[in-house]
Amino acid sequence: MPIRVNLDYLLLDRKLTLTELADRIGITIANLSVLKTNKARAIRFSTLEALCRELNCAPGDLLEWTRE
Amino acid sequence: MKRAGWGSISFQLVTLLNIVWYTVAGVLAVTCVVVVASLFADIRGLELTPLPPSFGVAAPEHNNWTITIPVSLAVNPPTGTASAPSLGIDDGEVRDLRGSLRFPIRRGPFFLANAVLLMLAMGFFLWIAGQLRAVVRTVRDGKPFTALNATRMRRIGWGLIIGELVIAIVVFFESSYAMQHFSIEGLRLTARFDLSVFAIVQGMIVLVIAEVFRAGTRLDEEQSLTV
Repeated sequence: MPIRVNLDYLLLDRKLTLTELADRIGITIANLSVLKTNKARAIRFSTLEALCRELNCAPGDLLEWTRE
Repeated sequence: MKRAGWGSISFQLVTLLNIVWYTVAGVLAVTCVVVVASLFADIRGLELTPLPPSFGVAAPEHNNWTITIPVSLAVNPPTGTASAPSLGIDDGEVRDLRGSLRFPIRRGPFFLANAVLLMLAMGFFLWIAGQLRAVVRTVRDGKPFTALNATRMRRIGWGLIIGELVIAIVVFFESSYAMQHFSIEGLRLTARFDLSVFAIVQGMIVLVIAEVFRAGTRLDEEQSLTV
């Protein structure tokens, strides 16, 4: 998919685990894993807002467009 | 969606469909045994009814094995004259009738053909009911929108349409058989190809529902992958 989710890099950089992040933003680990592995079809603004808040980043840091 | 509870309509529908399915399966098994036995023994006392009007195996009335076939009848005047004195009508006419003709079984190709037809009809009904059972089970379990359900609904829709066509053909041939071999005083047996438009429309409605299930499956998939 052309839109890449750079969640793994950000988690490593912020020294957070997937479980911790899932607890903080209030979504299941399964859903977060779907996002991390680029299998998600869509993301809600509320989820994007929560991710940016907890990871202290901009949406552009989290989402990247790649030419396939 | 969460699984439906005991009191829900889908739960009750599953139970009802299970009862119907196993009952018809039992009747089909008995019919198969009787038909096979009839090839080797003289059957007495069993009534077999091909499609339509019913799928019954009824208790004998007079120790004569009988078979019932659907027929169409035209009424010869003046037999069919109808009057209604309270309405001031004395020249009404009964013109066409649809009913069934019952007669003692004679072993031979006609009885065998009707028995096979009956078994095929029951088998077909079991298949359609099985598809419906599977769909209602997924609704009960809270996961109705699957690609398989769309396929099942499509099968049911086409089954209803093709079933109606087959019934019309069978009734035509049964009536033709009766026309060739039977005579009834005051009545004339006719053979008609009567297709129920209502049944065809029902099948089409189910096909539309199948498309709804297909669209629902796509939306459900997207929803499940929306974070």
